[in-house]
Amino acid sequence: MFSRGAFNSFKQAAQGASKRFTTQAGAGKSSTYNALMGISAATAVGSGASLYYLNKNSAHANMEADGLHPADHPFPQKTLFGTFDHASIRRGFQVFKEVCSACHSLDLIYWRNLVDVAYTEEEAREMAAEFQYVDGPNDIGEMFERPGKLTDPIPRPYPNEEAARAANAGALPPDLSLITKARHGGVDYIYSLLTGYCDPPAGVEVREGLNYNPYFPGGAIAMAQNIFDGVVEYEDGTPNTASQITKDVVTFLNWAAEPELDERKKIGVKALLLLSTLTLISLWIKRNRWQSMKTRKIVFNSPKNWQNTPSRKN
Amino acid sequence: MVGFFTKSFSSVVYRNFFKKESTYFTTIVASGVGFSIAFDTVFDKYWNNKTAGTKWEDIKDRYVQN
Repeated sequence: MFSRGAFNSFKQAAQGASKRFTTQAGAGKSSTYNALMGISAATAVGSGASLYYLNKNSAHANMEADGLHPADHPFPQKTLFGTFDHASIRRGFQVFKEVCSACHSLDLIYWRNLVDVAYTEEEAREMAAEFQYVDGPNDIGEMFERPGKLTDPIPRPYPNEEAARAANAGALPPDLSLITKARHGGVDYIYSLLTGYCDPPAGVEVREGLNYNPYFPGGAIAMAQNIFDGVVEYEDGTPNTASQITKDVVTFLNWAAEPELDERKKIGVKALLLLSTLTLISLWIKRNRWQSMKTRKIVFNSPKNWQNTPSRKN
Repeated sequence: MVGFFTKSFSSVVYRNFFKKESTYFTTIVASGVGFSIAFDTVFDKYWNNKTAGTKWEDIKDRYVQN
């Protein structure tokens, strides 16, 4: 906006004003310089504030294309130093397995990833063994089926995208391994989306096969509402309301996308503590070592004062 | 000699640990290792206290079958 030439000339004008007007008699302060500085500061602050307000409160005719902005939900892992609730991850995986895995794949998560996060090794082995996986070829060259092992991925509902689209009226249920990182709004957006199904407002037509959801960009999503009260029974007795089920599955999906979150935040706090302490120490050491230089005085010993210096022979 | 008998803490430390490069280096490494162990122990205790009940280690006893 401000070219460098324009900025430099403005700076020189201000400095010139400062030099010229400080020689005036009076309190030594230049009112024109102060006025210039005040006007620039007010312009900067004012334009910054206006742009921020306009950004937050803008309205345009096509806001449905952006999707309704989700509310800020208090997921514990969202805060700066917060970590996952692993009991919630366990319940969330149960929800995923019973409700979502009918249509959605989770290709990047393997049964072994669940061990010591939400399930014991035995439990994960048992769950993997419930599914059949194609393996091979065997000694005579045939592919065969075998029960799952820890090293296998969470099974896909459809073998490929074409089968998925054919079974879902042309719409592809996205893979959910990274969904909380892949959508603007993250966990808040997924939670609001899953709980946000409602009747379209008056005048809004949603075509046959699509469902109205204000949080979905465009308003019409192919997925119907799948999470209702009591759709899953929890083994630990947690009340299975729709909001609790959604909260658990969103926490699970967040773990699937960011399994390193717990470790990352712990290391992050350690790093912040150590680095800030070392920075303060460094600043002190620098000022300590520079003290002698910054307080030295250089004095000119004029030749007039050289009376007592012994004269050179020759 | 003037400096030979100085008993102030910093002089003793300097003479015995910082003057020779070999002892200086050993001091640096040893105090680094020591600080690392101490800091990790204290911090992990604080962190585990802060996240009590949410980690897998806290809930696994419900599901372990021996």
